[in-house]
Amino acid sequence: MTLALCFSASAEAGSRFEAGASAPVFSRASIDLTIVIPEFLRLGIVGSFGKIPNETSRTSASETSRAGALGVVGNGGTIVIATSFVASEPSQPLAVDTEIATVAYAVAMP
Amino acid sequence: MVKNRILGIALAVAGISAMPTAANAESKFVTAASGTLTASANLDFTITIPKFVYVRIGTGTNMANNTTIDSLVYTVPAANVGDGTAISGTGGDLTAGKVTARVIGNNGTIAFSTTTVGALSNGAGDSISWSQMNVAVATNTTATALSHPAFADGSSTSTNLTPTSGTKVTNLDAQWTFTYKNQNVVAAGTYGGVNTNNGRVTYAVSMP
Repeated sequence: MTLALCFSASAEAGSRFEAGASAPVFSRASIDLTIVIPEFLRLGIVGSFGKIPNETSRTSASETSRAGALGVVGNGGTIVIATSFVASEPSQPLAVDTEIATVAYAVAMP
Repeated sequence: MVKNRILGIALAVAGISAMPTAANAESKFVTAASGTLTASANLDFTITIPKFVYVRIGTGTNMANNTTIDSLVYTVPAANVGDGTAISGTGGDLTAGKVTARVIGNNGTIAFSTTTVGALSNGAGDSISWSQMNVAVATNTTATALSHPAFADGSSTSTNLTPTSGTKVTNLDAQWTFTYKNQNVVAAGTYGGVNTNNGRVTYAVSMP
């Protein structure tokens, strides 16, 4: 009981030295930890060729890229995803019967 | 009257016979006309060693109290949140998230424990488990390094330190380097802190 009272008085410490005659002796020390996690929002579009394009918000669309995946990771709450049709371009000389379209994806997080 | 005088003499004789012998005296004087003379005196020694136990984590003073509590801080780059890249810290008496750890005692096996109030919190409902903190243990001045008791969220874990010299004396130290494992994407915020949001871990020693 005496030792317990002693602890509450001494609070925390980096080092503690306790001596006693007959009863068990106790001692304690503490450290504080802080982890800082920043807010971030990441958007990735993987096309049919299995890679994230260099441009973060624009990808080359092809007939087969419809199977591409959109990946969004954020740590600040509910994420809103918006898409918009940007442009349509004429077909390329070697890409008969195709059309290149650009779609923009935007994400927002509180 | 006569009886009392005889009783007094008897007691005096008994008292003289009960006195310590000359061999244990602090001084002795011997004299004789011839032959070898010997004399001796005695001195008794007593050394009193108090029972003690000492623990140091981070900044400390050898065999004395020190009220400094070290603060270790881990800042995760935004591009690395949750990617498993271990994050080094700042702070500690040995800097970069490294601290001195030492336990000394002289009365048998020492129970060495860690206690946390709970998982590290950001104060907004999110938490990081203490299991996300890694501790690398390296020798310091003693041949055997002082091991680190495992962290547990909101509870204590304890290990027994057996004497390292004889049957009673324990003397162990180490250098502990803490890193954040960063294995999960977690909510933004500041987790733990200086005696807030469960950021404090307390190390305790108990010796019989």
